[in-house]
Amino acid sequence: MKKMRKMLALLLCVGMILGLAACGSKEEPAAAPAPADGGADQKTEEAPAAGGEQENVTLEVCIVQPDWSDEWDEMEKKFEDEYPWIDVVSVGVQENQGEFLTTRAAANDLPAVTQINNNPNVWALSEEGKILDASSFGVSANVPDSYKDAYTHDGVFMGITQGAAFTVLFLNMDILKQAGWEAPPTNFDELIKCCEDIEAKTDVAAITVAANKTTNCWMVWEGILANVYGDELGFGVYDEQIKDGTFDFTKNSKATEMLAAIASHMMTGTSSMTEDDVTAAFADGNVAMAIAGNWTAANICDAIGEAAGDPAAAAAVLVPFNEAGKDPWISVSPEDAFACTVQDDPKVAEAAGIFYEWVFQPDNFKIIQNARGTVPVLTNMTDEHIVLPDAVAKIVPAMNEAQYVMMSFNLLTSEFYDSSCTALKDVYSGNAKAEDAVASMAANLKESHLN
Amino acid sequence: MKKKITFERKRTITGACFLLPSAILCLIFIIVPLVDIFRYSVYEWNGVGSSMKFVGLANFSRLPSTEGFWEMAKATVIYVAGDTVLVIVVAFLLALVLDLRGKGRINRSFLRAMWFVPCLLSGAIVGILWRIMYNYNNGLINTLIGYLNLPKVNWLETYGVTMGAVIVASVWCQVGMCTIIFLAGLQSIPEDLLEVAKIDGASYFQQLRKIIIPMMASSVTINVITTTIAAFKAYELPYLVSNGLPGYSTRLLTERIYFYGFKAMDSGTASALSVVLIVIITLISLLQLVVLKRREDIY
Amino acid sequence: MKKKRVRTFLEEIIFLILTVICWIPIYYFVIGAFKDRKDIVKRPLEISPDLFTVENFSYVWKKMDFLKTLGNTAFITVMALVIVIICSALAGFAIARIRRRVFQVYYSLLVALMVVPFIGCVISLVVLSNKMHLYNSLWGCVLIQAAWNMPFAVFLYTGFMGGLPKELEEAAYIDGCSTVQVFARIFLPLQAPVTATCCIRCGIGMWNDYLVSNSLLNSARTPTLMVGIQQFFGAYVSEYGYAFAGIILASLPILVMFVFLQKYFIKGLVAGAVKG
Repeated sequence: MKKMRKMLALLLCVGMILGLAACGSKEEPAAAPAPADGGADQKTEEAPAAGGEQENVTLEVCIVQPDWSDEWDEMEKKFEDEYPWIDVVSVGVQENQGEFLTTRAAANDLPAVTQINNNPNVWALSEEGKILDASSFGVSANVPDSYKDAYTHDGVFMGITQGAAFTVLFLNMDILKQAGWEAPPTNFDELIKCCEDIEAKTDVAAITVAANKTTNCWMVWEGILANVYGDELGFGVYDEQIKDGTFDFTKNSKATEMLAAIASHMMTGTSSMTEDDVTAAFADGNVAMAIAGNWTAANICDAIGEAAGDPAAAAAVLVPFNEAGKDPWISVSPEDAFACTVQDDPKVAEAAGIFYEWVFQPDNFKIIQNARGTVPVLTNMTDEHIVLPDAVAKIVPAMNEAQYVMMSFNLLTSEFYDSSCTALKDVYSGNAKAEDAVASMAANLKESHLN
Repeated sequence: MKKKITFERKRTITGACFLLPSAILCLIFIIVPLVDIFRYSVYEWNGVGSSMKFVGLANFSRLPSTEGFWEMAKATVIYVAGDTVLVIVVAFLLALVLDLRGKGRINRSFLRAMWFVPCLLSGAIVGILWRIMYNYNNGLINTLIGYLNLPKVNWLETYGVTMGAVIVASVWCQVGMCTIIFLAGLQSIPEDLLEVAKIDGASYFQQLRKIIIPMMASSVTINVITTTIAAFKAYELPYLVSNGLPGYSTRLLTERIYFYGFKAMDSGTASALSVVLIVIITLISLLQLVVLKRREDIY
Repeated sequence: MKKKRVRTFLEEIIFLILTVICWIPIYYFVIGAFKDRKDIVKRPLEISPDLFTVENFSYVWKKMDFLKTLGNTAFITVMALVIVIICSALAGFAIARIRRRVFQVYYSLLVALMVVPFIGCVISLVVLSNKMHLYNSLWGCVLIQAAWNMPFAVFLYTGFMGGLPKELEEAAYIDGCSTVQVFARIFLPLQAPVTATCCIRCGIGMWNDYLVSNSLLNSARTPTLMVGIQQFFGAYVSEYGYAFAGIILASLPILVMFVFLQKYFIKGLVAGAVKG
């Protein structure tokens, strides 16, 4: 009897452990990649007919920007129609790209094709040999060298960028007219005067920026730097000095003064505004101008048109941080790029290659290109492929002419831009003086290069 | 006598077997990662690579001099203290009102459920919701203030105010749970004890001070400790409400762990910071436990 | 006596006002989910048939693949809850009723694990689950959720078991029942209230989890509800309506569970946890 009880207890406990172990070892089909959105289901049935003896392959693609996820679905469908044996599954549609790729890398399970950014996360992956050199793809011949260089880390060309990113001043001309401005300001003094007029004559805030996003927060300051130091240092020197840590933010106090001047006209709430908030502020008619990336052009122009009741009210110019009589300098960077990761399964690798070549065909690429309103860098894309919002189309020639610096925030450590943007946001919100912020950035730049 | 011993021994074995499943699970999925944190904290490692360099305590020693560290530590302390105190006080008062034991006209169990509903939402949801409401230009709160003809408040970028805003959001979604635990404590107070006090002519506040609060000591202990731990570990909600702005004034150390681990690709420093946080939480919880238990014993 | 009634009345009024304030955010997003963004901003608290739209819901439903994500989330939550309840009921019984010094030490250690911040363990857990072939499987999530909720659940069950009278088991032991029998026949049937408490407290956390499923179930675009709704929260998306509709869809099931269990919830707490 005693023995029986003991046995029972033991059995129970062993059963439990076995149960747990069984749970652990069982592969769960429900989590395995299932067709994401409509359209994928029919594909599998057609597969044998179209793909011949080809076996079905599942290709994981990671995109980071949900703002064009609808167009992404369109593109995915188009691809699967042409290559029925490849089932594209989009993963990680969200902004926490760093977290996503890091955890996938930790599990040694990177998606076959992924969007990447020029940042330390991706460099680390590249150094580990997890990113395929994109120069092996035919389409990379259509990428200008400067954009190749920008995405080359340690000799590996990591990916083809979606387009050129640069800063634009978007204006609601309807409000500017109420303030007595028939045309956009053309230099810094005019810009400040314009802000003052808007504040005096209307009840709308003058200018804003989506400071919540690090890129946007930094590029206002960088635009100032480019115009103050550009002529003095000449092409390419600023970028080099930033990279070496020898650049001195405090050298010319004019930059600091400009930062203080523009910050004093910023809309309340600017420091915590997302790109979505900026679009919303335009749509609600709460703001007259915004310094924003060209990649938000489509959304912002729609919003201005909605607020003014007239699409023609949306205008865009290169940010006029220049002195009167000079042309503006801009800061440019390649946008997020597409990269192929190194895959063990040759079938997946092959599918990824096919996909990669396919995406950068002008007829296919224009779908996302035009949804976002960015300026493409592919040399084989012609005007018939590119449909930009009117306001942006007008400034593309000026942009191509303009002198530029490479957007430096991709060159520095995460710690540096985190602390710099924190300092800058305090200036934008009126909580700190521009001098203090600039001094702290200067100190941080030295610090980040000491380590 | 001999029979007794074997019986007790058998019970011990059965008990040990009963503990086994939970022990195995926790060992694999909590202890192992915990040990990993301690291990990583003495290495320089980017989180994905295969190269790990032993650096001793360098990850720890560089922490205090990193930009904004002390501001973030201060923010964490203010957040934890403010959140805990407010949650406990509000939940206690709510519980007292909700426990008027059948007096009054409103259906109390319905109200209780209403107060609990915010607790069902995830931290991320609550964070986003309050962020939208705090928006200076078109948020609900400033719109309501506008209806009253008062000046708008810049909730998300004013030093001091923003921390208050963050704390309000997290109190909103935690208070229901604590209220229910307090209610449970209140309802375990024997009815006749209060009746006797009432007959003796004790006022409500005397009852509160002499009977109710002492009898609720154990639920206070639970609530204080769990709320403190939760506040120390909170990360989604505060970050989503304010993004840590203005300056570093609402940025918590947990957010910093995330920053090092996933943005700066510095798992070593992230782990070092985790270790520091674990030690601090443990010490504070132990302190609370000792103090509160002693109070329980006094009553 | 009259004075007293006035005071109760006042108390109730104040309390009702507070309740209304507490519910404004919920009202705001529930109403907002049926409006366009413009109307959410301009007329936030209004209800009017001409503002009404269900477009938000149909968009969100399709975009987050609602039924699939709901299924995954429910699977993880239910399975993890079952494991947590079984394991912690056993552990709670052993700790509270078979009093041994070692068990007490184990209990203290387990409860101390509550202080570990999950965010610091993510990378390590991903590596670990990859080694154990649990990566990309719902069971991996289930086990991790179960483990991380175990300390609190054991705490609840121990408190509850400890609160039951000693006479319960004494008679049974005299009758010659084994410990296992005592547990199964006498203690198990009494666990309904504390189980309800555990379901609600742990279930909320499991349902609302974002980090675990986002780090482990990477292969699907929208593995669980909380990951699925993230796409409506981003900086790029300018529709509050989508976010609100997403919140409602993701939170409704847990609300339903709460409504069914709430009767037992407080009982479980009264009976056990507060004595811990």
